[in-house]
Order: sequence, then structure tokens, then C-alpha cells
Amino acid sequence: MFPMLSTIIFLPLLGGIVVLLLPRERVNVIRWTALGVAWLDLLLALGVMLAYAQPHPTAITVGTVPLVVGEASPTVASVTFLLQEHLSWLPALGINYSLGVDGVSVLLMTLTTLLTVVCIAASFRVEQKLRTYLAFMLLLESGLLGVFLATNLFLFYVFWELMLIPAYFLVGGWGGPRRVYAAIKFVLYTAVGSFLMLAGIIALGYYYRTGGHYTLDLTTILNSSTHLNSTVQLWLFLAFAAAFAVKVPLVPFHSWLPDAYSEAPAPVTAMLAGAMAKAGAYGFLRYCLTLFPDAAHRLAPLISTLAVIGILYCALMALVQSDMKRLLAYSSISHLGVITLGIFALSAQGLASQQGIDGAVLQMVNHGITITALFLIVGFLEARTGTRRLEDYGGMARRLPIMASVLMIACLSSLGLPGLNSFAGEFLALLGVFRNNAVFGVLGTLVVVPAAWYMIRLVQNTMMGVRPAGGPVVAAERKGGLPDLDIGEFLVLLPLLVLIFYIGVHPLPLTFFVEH
Amino acid sequence: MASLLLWVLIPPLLGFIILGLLGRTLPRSAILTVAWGTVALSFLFALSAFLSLLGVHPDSQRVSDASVYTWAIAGDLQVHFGLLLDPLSATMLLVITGVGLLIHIYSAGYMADDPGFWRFFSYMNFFIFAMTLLVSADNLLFLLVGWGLVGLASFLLIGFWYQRPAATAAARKALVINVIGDFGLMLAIFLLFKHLNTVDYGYGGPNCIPGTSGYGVLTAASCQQLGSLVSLAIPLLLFVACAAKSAQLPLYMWLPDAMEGPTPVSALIHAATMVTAGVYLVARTHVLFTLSPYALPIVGAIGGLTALFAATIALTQLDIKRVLAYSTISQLGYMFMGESAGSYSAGIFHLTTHAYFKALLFLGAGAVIHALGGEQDMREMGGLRYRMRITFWTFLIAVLAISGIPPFAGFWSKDDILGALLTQATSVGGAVRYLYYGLWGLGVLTAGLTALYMFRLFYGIFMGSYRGAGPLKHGHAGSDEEEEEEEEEVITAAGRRRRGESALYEIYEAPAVMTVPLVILAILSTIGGLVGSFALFNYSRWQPLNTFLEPVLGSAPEGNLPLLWLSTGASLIFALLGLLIAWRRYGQGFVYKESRNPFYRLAYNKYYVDEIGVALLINPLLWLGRQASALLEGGLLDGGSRLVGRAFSLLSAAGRRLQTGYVRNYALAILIGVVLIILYYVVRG
Repeated sequence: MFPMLSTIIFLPLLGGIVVLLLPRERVNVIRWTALGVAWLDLLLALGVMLAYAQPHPTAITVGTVPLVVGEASPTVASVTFLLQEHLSWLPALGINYSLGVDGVSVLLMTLTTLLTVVCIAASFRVEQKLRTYLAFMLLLESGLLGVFLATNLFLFYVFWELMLIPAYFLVGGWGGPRRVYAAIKFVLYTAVGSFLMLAGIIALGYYYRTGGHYTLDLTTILNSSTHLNSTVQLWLFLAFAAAFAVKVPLVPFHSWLPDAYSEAPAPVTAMLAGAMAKAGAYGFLRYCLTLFPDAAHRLAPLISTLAVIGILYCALMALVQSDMKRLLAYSSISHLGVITLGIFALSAQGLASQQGIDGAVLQMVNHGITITALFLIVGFLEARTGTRRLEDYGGMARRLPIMASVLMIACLSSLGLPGLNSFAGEFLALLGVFRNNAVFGVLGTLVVVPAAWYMIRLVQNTMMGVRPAGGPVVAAERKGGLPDLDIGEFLVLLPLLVLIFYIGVHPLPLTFFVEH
Repeated sequence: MASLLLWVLIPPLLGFIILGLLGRTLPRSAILTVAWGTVALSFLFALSAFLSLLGVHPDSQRVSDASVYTWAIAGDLQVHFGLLLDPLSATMLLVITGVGLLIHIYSAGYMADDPGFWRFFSYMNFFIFAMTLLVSADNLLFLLVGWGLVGLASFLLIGFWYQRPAATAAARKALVINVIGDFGLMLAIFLLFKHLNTVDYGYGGPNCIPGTSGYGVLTAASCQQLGSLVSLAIPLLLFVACAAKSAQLPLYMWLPDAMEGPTPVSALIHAATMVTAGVYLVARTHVLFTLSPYALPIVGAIGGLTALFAATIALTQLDIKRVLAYSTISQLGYMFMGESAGSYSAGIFHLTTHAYFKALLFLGAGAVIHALGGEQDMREMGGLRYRMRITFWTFLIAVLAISGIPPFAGFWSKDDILGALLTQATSVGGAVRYLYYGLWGLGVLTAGLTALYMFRLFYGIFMGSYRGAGPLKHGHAGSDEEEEEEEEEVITAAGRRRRGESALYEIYEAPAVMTVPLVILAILSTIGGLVGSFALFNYSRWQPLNTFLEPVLGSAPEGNLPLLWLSTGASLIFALLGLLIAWRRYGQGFVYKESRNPFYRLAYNKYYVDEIGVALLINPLLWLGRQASALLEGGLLDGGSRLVGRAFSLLSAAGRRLQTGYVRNYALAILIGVVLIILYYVVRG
């Protein structure tokens, strides 16, 4: 069988190498090659998505995940991986090259390929070390796709770290004035979490060993009759959660994020916020919840508490930021809190909530779309005026009517306007949370109020009101005028806008993927 | 049959899309064709839906539900986008599209000089779409969608003149407060789904079997036992949404500020339709409000307090639109009072008549503001009856209607509400009785205050002699172009303005495109009450609206005749008293006197509610945020990370000293190690 998933993962990597080999002067060739590779990958991913949507006769249910605490579990959720690929690598250590997709990863895979296309297209203005930049972007895509598609824990870890390297260089090499500090902080935070996860992975392989061989294949583990006792589960859960909590991030492990997001160039920030943050949430869902159900049940209140604190605290932080990117960074943490809350919306018996999971995955996609649009628009604005401070702006809608409308739509999506995409995800996730724990549900839902406030503040302070006399915006206008979105920029944002409307009006196809 | 409603929804949505995308390039005539045409189509379809409903017999069969598509399936949650046609939604749709169409027509004149002409009509079309969606949805989730979208339309239109700081601030306030309402509505839906496993309304009689076609929150709630806490929490959470949308205490603060929007917006959204969504929601989900014995009295108490509270503020305001805004708040409180007495049809009845006369009042005020070039201060008006005949007469009809003077529309609906309150007070037992007596008293008192402030307004605008200095040269629009330069021009123009009679002749009646809607609304304000109950004259067979709505809202409690006459008499006496006081005081023209009376100052400054809210809630919150941003984010977390980094680098700096590179040092270390190992074994034995 054709190794479709491997192709999807490694195509960007190869594309990156090709880009590096192109002659430096042929700027347009370099750009279009990178974009072409990203497009091709998107098409392949869409193909897989379509194939997945068909009724699959060849589906092999490879494992059933007890979502109930204890051995006597009447309810099991089956995990079906399709398009599986399997190559033995170091079987004695349980290390294999195995890939597969299920409904959740097929969505995140497609999202990643889409966002890569968008972000590479948005990077056409980058001039400094263009080839390296694009190669890193493509490498980042490979790493992310590997994370979403790996079904062997060690392979997952390899991709997890692979994703970090290009991210580090992109933040540290192409960012703003404090980029080096931001990049190092980002790497150190992430690395500490990852190493704990590596220890957890090794321990897990040890506990599930069969006949002296470690076992790290997800399918084997899920089918195994071995039941970890709850203390072991607890420690392993915490080890895995360390990596995911930093990546998502959960408060108080988020300190790297505002720095990294605000220093990185806008398309990179968009990739980090849109796609990479989902890796953490995906990890919680795929590994913490399924591998350690008892521990998840015990720790769900703790994680949910952190998520709720993060949701409200970061919403408050977003309210008082004057740097637009920092505002979006905090809003991002706040929204990811809702996703985490949905994932850990376990009932009193430890059952995962179907609405919670559906909503969380839907929201991963939605947040990816919306936050990418927001960061890119802010990037376009910054490119025109050289400033990100809200105080410097005002009344831009008259000069930039199209950009104002697009920003408005993205902000409305972000604040959860009913009828747009985020509403569908947040509603389902919070419904799931509320059903199982009213307190978390109420507190989580409360976020809609500050979210409306800070998002409207963003739109109004930039686009409405009166432009301050003097200041960088006026200076920029005198120098080169303030052109509205050009056709290229608009085309970059167009797919995101279409999805914002489409998913809002008809989220059914997405929930279909999550449930099948 | 319900699929007809799809054709009510689609035209304004299309209009919004066309105008939003292409409006900038279209000529005015094309913009108007699209804007008027879509709403007119919508109105025609609403009318045919209404007529087709009338053709159905018996009455109980007058309900039709059409599922359009499946929105999402998540676990045991299934949400379909469905449309519900029943007497309640048909009535609401007629009011929305009918009044909406008149206001669209009027706006062509009012907004004629505005550079944002196309933008205005695209937003207005969007509002009609959102509002029709709200009332025709057949489940709570799509009600919430409509609920959110009308909030957005309101936000966009309040902030229409987006370069005015006051307008953007008002828009923001409206949106955030409305989102508090959305929050309540979401929680109510969660709670209902948690206990009943559905978000559909349900229809076709009580059907308690989950999954069957008629099963929904309204049917299941009546036959399923909910705990007393839950059955109180659900209506109260719903009422949070109603209070935010319909500007009831304590969430009313956004509505007066919303007057920053263009006047037709105030007429359509902030008087006739959107703000009545809360009244609609209570009527629609009235089954849930009867689950708990406390829910309706609470609704009534809040409505009654709001009615009185807002009326006292309206007495003192000088901006004519603000007077009308507080009057709207007060009248909405009235509607909730009626509903709290179990007479939902009285609430809906007042909703419809209020839509006529309040839209008329706002449009009349708009004509005045238009003629005066944007002036809204009553001190700069007076004597306009000579120059604006049509506005004058239509405004008078609206004032009579809202004051409850027979035979105008407001009299009938107000009377219906007061009668229902008194009936309820005499028929229920227990302490609640006193509440309803109190509410009835509040209602009667408010009726008097209403007449007083409305005639104060009327005399202030039209009677006496002209006090202003001619129309402002600026035009009413905070126009889109070159705002900075124009601000100065206004000041100099104001300096040169002449005062008195000669200036009056610079004022002209509004064009026909504006006066025709005024006349139509005046006719409706006159005869619109005739669909109400004639129970007062012991002619109970004539109550078309009640009968029409009965399959949805149930029958209102019957009152006895002397009691109804008592109620009518009292409210009429109070209204005439209010009229008399206004005439005595302002009949010769409005004279503004600075008053030192503390109660007056308190009401004039709106009881300082805004200031208190900012000082107690907003500022502390922002202060907390800034402190946390500096101390927690900057100090503790960022600083903490640096500290850990520093500690590691110190540690390794210390460790590096050991790596001297001299073999003798390493040999020494090995020796010490060996000695220690030996010692360990020796000691251990």
C-alpha cells in the first residue's frame, strides 16, 4: 500500500531541502516552490480527509479504550486508526515507525497543512535569509504532522522535539528586538516539559513490556490487558502532562508564550498559535486521557481548575495589554483553556463527555483558523505602520476599510459570536463541561464577557474612533501612505474567512470526523 | 407551511450580502431597491405565512415546524436548524418586517446625506435577518444565534458613526452588556439540556417521550420533575438574557447610550423590535417560568421597578432621544409586568402597540432632529408646530397613545396589563398577592408619570415659541469624511447662529419619504389597539389577538368587570393628572430651570448608576489586571524564570571551577573518593 501518511509528513521536509538548494537570487522561484510544496501537501491531506469520510470497509478497530475507571468498564470508546504504516525500527526497545489517522488527527493534519499554506503565503514579504526561513517553516510542518500522525510513542517524541527546532530558529532568527530572549525562554520551558515526557515514555514502555521487549506502540498498548495501578498512572500522567501543559499552555506554565508570540514574525506566531498549540491539547486527548484513565479521572479537577484559572486570568490579562500581539497571545491562552476544559470534562464515573471532546476538537480547528487570521492581520497592520501599540492607532477603518472588515470578522469569530465558527466549538465544549461539573461550566462560560470586551477593544482602538495626531501611524502615512489589504493579502486570508463562516453555519461535518 | 419562513429570512440576508460586498459601488437608487425590496419581500412572505395560519382550523392546529438542515450532532445532542410558524412567531414577524419596512423607507430620507449610506442599509438588512431568525427559530440554540446576531447588528448600528468616541463607547457598552445576557441564555440552555436532553422547543401538545417528534424543552418541562432549585434557576437565567436585551434593571445602562446611533436605528432596534426580544422570550418559554412559584413574581418585581425607575429619569432629561430611551425602558418593564401576571398575550399586545407608537415617536423625533441639523436638546426647540405640521400631528397621536388616552392603541394594551395585574392580585393567595397589588400601584403611578414626561417632551418640542437658532449647518451625521476639520467649522457656525423667530423659518418639514411612514404609523397607533380585548365592555367575544395567541400562550385569567373598570379608571385618572401637570407647567412652552432639588439632581444624573458601576466594577477590574500584568506576569513568572536560569548558571559556574584540567587535581579527587569508599565499608563493617 502506498505510504500516504509518510508522504504527507516528509514531503515538506524534502521541499525544504529543495528550497535550500535553489539559487539565492531566484527569490520568486524559492517562494513559489515552498508554497507549491505546501499546497501539494494540503491537497494530499484533503484527499485523505475525503477518503476518511467515506464509509470505510477496510477499517480495523485496533483497540478499545476504556473510558471508565477500573476494570469493569461497560462503556468503551473504540479508536480506529486508518492508513496504518508500520516499520520495525528497534523492536527490542519498542521503537517502531508506525503511523495512522483517526478522526481527530485527520482534522488536525488538514488544519496544519492549511495553515502552512496560509502562513507561507503570508511570508512573501520576508527577505532576510529567505531560503532558510521557508525551509524551517516546512520543517515545522513536518514535525507537526508527525506529532499528529505518529502512533508509536517514541516516534511521537521524536517529532515532538523535531517541531521545536525550527520553531526555535524561526523565533530567534526572524523575530523582533527581544527575539533571542524569547526564543531561549521558549526552548527551555518546552524542553523541561519534553524531558519529563521522555522519562514517562520510557517508563511506560517498561510497564507494558512483553517478553523482555519494551512496547511503545499505541495500538498494542491500548489492546494490552495490562492495567497500570493508579499510583503509576498518576506519575506517568504527570510526566506526560508536563510536556503538554507547557505546550498548550496551562497557567502557570505559560510565561514563555506572550514573549514568543509577540517577538516572532507574524506568520510564525500564527503557526505557533494556530497549529503548534494544538499539539499540546492533542497530547492531552490522545495520550493522557486514553493511556491513564484512572489518573485522568483523579486529576481532572486539578487540570480543570488550572484551565479555568487560565481562562479567566488570561482574559483579564488580554484586557489590559496595549501590545496587540500580546493581547492576542493572552486571548489564545484563554481560549485554549476552554479546549482543555472540554477534554477533561469527565463525569463522576470518569467518562469523557462526547460533547466536551467534540467541542474541544472542533475548537482546536476553529481556534487555529481564527487566531491565525488575527495574527496575520495584526502583522499586516504592523508591516504598514511599524507599531503594535493600540494607543498609536485609531480611526483606521476610513483608510483601510477592507482590513477593518476582515479584522472585525476575525474578532467576532474569536469572541464566540453565535453563527460563527468558535461559537460552535465553545458551545459544545462548555455544554459538555457543564453537564459534568456545573461550577467549571459556569466559570468557563463566563469568559464570553471579557472576551467580547477585549476583542471589541482591539477592533475599536485600531479601526474606530479618531486617529491620534502625530505618532508612528501618521508618520507611516506621510511616508508611503497606508494601502488597504492588497489582493495577495486578501487571498491569504480568504480561506480562513470562508471557514469562519462555513463552520459556524454548518459544523456537522467536523463533529462527524470526531465521532467516527 | 413553516418553510415559508425561510423566504422571510433569506431576502434580508441576501440584501445584507449584496450591499455589504457591492454597496460601495452601487448608486443610491440601487441601494434602496435592494434594501427596500428585500424587506418588502420579507414582509409579504410574513404576511402570507400569517394568512395561511389564519386559514387553519381548528386553532390548536396552527403550528408548523420545518427542519431545514442538521447543524451538529454531538453525542446525544442533535441540533437542527428549524423554523417554527405559530401564532406567536407570525405576530412577531409581522411587526418586525412591517415596522422594519416603514423604517427602511424613512431612513432613505434621514440618511440621505450620509456617506455611509450603503453601509447603513446593509446593517439594517442584516438586523432584519437576525431578528426574524430569532423569532422563527424552533429551538433554543438558534434562538441564541439570532440573539447574538441582533446584538451584533445593534453594536454595528450604534457605532455607525464610528469616528465619534461617544458612539464607539456606547456600542462597546451595548455589546458587552448584551453578552452578559448571552451568558445567561447559554447557561439556561446548558441546564435545560442537562436535565431534559434537548434544546428544541417541542410542539404539538405535551409529549413526554424523548426522541419523539413533539418532544422539547417546553413540552418535557411540564411533565418532568425538576428540582426546585433547577426549576427556579432556569427561568432566572433566561431572564438574565431578557434583562440584558430588553434593558431591565440592573442591565439597562446600555440603552440610553445606544441613542448615539442614527435615529432610525433607535426606532427600529432600540424601541420597536430588538429590545422586545426579552418579552418574546418570556412568552415563548412561559412554560418554564411557571415551573417555579417564584419566577414570575421576580420578573414582575424587576419589571415594575424598572418601569418606575426609568420613568423618573425620563422626567428630567433634556435630550429628546434620551427621554424616549428611558420611556422605552419603562414600557418594557410594563410588558414584563403583564407577563408576570400570567397574561402573556397582554405583554405581546403591548409589544405590538408599543412598536407602533414608539417607532412613531422616534421617527418623529428623528424628523425634528433632521430638520434642526442634528440638534437634540429640548432647550433649543419649541414652536415647531408651525413649521412641521405632519410631524406635529403624528407625534401628538403617538404621545396620546403612549400616555394611555382612549381610544389610541396604547390605552388598550396598557389597560390589558393593569387589569391582568389587578386580577392576579385578587385571585392568588398568600403574600404574593401584595406584590401584585404593589405592581398594579406601580403601573398606575407609572402611567401618570408617562403622560407627564411625554407631554413635557411634546410641549418642549412643538409648543411655545422657538428657542433655538436655526438648524445646525453641520448636518446630523458625524460624517465620514474629514472629521477633524469639520469639528471647527461647527463651532464657528454655532457662534454666528441667529436666535428666535427668524431662525424658525429656516426649518422645514421632512420630505415625503419620511412623512409617509409617520402617517402610516400614526394610523396604526390610533387603531392598533382594536385587536385587543374588549372585555372591558363586557364584550368578550371580541379579542382577536388573545384568541389568536391562545394556542401558544394559553388563556389569560379572566377578570371581573368592576375590577377592570376600577383599574381602567385609576390609570386614566393618573394619565390625565400627568397630562394636566405637564400642561400647567409647560403648556406655554418649555422653560429649563436649573434645579437644586436633590431628588431632581439624582434623577437628572440617572441615579449615578453608570458612575457607580465604573468606580466599583470596571476600574477595580482593570486595576487588578494591570497590577497582575506587572507583578504576576512580569515579576513572578518572568522574573521567576530568570531566577531559575540565574541559579543554574551560578551552579554551573561553581561546577566549572572543579574542571581545572590539572591531572594532579583529578588524582587528588580520586584519592579522596577511594578513601571515602573504604571508610564507608569500614564503618559499616
